[in-house]
Amino acid sequence: MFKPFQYRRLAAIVLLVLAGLVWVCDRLFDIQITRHRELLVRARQYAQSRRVLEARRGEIRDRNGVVVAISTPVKSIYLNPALCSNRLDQVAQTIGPLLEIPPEALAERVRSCLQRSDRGAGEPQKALLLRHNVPVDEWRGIATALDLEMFGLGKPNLSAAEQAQLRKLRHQILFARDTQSRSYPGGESLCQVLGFVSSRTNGSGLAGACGIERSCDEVLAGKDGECLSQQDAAGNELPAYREHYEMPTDGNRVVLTVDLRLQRIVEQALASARTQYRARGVSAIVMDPKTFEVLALACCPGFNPQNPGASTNETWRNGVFTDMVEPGSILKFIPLAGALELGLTTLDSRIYCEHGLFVVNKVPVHDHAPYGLLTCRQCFAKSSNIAFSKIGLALGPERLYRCMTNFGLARCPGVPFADETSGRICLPRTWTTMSLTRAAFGQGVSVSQLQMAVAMCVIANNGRMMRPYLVSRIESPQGQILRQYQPQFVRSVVSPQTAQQVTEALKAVVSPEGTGNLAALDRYTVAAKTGTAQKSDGHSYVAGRYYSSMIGFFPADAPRFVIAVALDEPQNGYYAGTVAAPVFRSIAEQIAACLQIPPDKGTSVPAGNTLARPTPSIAQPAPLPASRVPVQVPNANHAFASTPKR
Amino acid sequence: MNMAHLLTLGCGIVSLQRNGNVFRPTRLGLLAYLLAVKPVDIFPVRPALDVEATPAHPRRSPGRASRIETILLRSLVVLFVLALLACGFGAQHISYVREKNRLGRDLRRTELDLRALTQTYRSLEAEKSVELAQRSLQPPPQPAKADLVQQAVPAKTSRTSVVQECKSTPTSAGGAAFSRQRTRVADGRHPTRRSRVAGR
Repeated sequence: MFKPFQYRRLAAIVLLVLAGLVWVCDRLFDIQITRHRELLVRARQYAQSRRVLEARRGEIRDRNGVVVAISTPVKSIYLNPALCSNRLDQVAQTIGPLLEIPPEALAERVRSCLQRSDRGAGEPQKALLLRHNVPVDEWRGIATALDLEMFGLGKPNLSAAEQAQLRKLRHQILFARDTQSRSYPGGESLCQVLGFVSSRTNGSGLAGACGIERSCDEVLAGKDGECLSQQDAAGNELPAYREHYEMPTDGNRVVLTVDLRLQRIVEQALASARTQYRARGVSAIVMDPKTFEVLALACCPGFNPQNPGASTNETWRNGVFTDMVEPGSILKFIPLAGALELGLTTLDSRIYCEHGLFVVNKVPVHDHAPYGLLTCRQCFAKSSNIAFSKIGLALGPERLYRCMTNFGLARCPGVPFADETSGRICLPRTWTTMSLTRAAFGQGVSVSQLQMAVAMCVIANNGRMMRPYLVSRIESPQGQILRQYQPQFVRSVVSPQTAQQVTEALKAVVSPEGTGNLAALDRYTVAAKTGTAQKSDGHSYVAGRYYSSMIGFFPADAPRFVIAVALDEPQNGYYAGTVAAPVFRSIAEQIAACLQIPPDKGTSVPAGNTLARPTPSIAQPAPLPASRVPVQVPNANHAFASTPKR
Repeated sequence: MNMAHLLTLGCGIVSLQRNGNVFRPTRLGLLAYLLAVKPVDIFPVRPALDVEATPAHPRRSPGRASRIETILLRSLVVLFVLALLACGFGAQHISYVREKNRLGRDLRRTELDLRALTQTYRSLEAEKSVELAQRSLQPPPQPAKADLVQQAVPAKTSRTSVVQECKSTPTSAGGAAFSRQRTRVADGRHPTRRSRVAGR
């Protein structure tokens, strides 16, 4: 039997054990339940690693499959400042030459980083970016060279701890992160179309900053992957403890409608024109009038998309799409088409040009030369402002406005492209007689060069408007077509007969008596219109600052290309007929030679591409659909007076 | 009874009740003891044929100390078994984790190799694309001189006529008399009073 003291002893032991158990339970409760969330966060901070697996940005290609933008894998090299705090000079001397950074500069950078941490400015920096966009091969070379560095390990009398520290220094002082850089093989070619990329706000990956890179960013960027895992004390990932792993999805490929061969031709022509005419800027666009595809688009001066910071912001802008300008006389074909469509005039109707001075509501309108009685065709060929003031008056504000908007002005063309402008035209109810006469020859309205090119495409496409587009298709990274963009019919703007009449008028512009005769080609018929617009400084027109442009298509009877050229503030001459027409001609000639377009001068035109369009006479106007019956406007007889007033 | 018996485990556990049990060995092995469900019944084997004739041996109820000892011993046994099981599971878990880590390291190495190869492939692919694009961007061969001359001839005459025409036009597109009346129009506002325009 137990003795009493044995019972007491046993009871004491049991109590102690129980107390211990209670203490353990209390601790467990505290750790597992009370402080669960806090400790979980802390544990995750220590052990969990989250890596973003960067998706490769998709390529951009031209219509023939030539790569114009591609992503290249590169490395960003970082240094761990905490490891080298007591061996700064030694590290700088060793690593500096490997990274081609002067050791003194490197030491200074690391020192300032460490000092920032010591001052308590935020958390200690774990990584200091030394170089970015380092090619993979170069990084391998650096890593190999680093492995061969001794970091003083060869010295005698080193303790085990010192040796371990030096080994750690050698293996962990530098590390690299996978990233990508964007390469543009063409350099400045197509720069305003492509745009450029910049780093994302979270520091991972690239984001389009402007141009197609920005417009198609969602398509190009792909989807980043993510890896949630545990890491060891050295920061190495433990793949066995991956909680979540999502593979990155590479970005898709964007295929443009642009043809690099034509693009090169346009860019060369613009560069030489800018030099020759000492223009502030030159731009051009080439479109296919059948499909409304943009075949070439260039603005000069350009910039290097790989280093956009070296150029001014102005050069980044795609002026053809984004800049609003007063078009001047190149707009005249739109009121002409409207008047012809409504039967208000014919090409052979005679218009009195008032010998160069026409006063509307006490405000004069001038021509650049005094003309008397001219046919409508001649008025267009000689670009008479007075004649088109009268046509504007005949049309009236409502119909002129509708005519312009039907041709796509004051509406976003819908390419789509970042910062695409819709231009501005005031509502017709606010127009005065003077604004009406001015709008008819291209003043008081703001349009983009693209809008004018689209309007010209309408004429070249027998009055049918399509939606302009710049992206031909979207392909997967493996080349599978995901989306194919097709020409999209928008509306019929004018009848084919009217379009043919306007074409005839445009051909007259390039005839020897027209303003654009320098654009004539030897073996191709050309239909075009010149325009020399004065520039405004915001308050008034400024003398000596002009916007000279030419827009047209060739071959005139079977249009293949619409070309729009504009020179901003040319110095050696300013009339579009003398500065823009030669550029137009140069581009057209080279395109025809490059693509071996069959000549149409002196040869029969293919039957399917022309329409038999009888020219309506004044006495018997062409029959119009019910919706297009001309509305009688006041002063119509005045506008189309067939006899001179003086 | 002495509790010291319980703690003598070095060479087996000494029987707790040995008095009068002629069949019980004086020292039990540890395993035999552990397998025993309850204290050994000390009643002798009853005659097989004369069950009734044999007087029943009065069963002695165990004392309190004995019950405590039994409970403690059983608890120890359970704890021991659990410890054994835990050790087994622990060893298995350790080997599992080691294998998992080894596979993880292999996976990581393979991943890094694959990534390096992918990067190399993509670098080469990019280089090739850049080269191809640059080749396609090289200027085409210049056309023959005769062609240029042939194309330039008609342009020369027409350019002269245009230049003459330009000279005949007014020198200034905006005269001083009208410059004060101009307002802004480039922003799409209404044109107000303006002077003559270039208009070509």
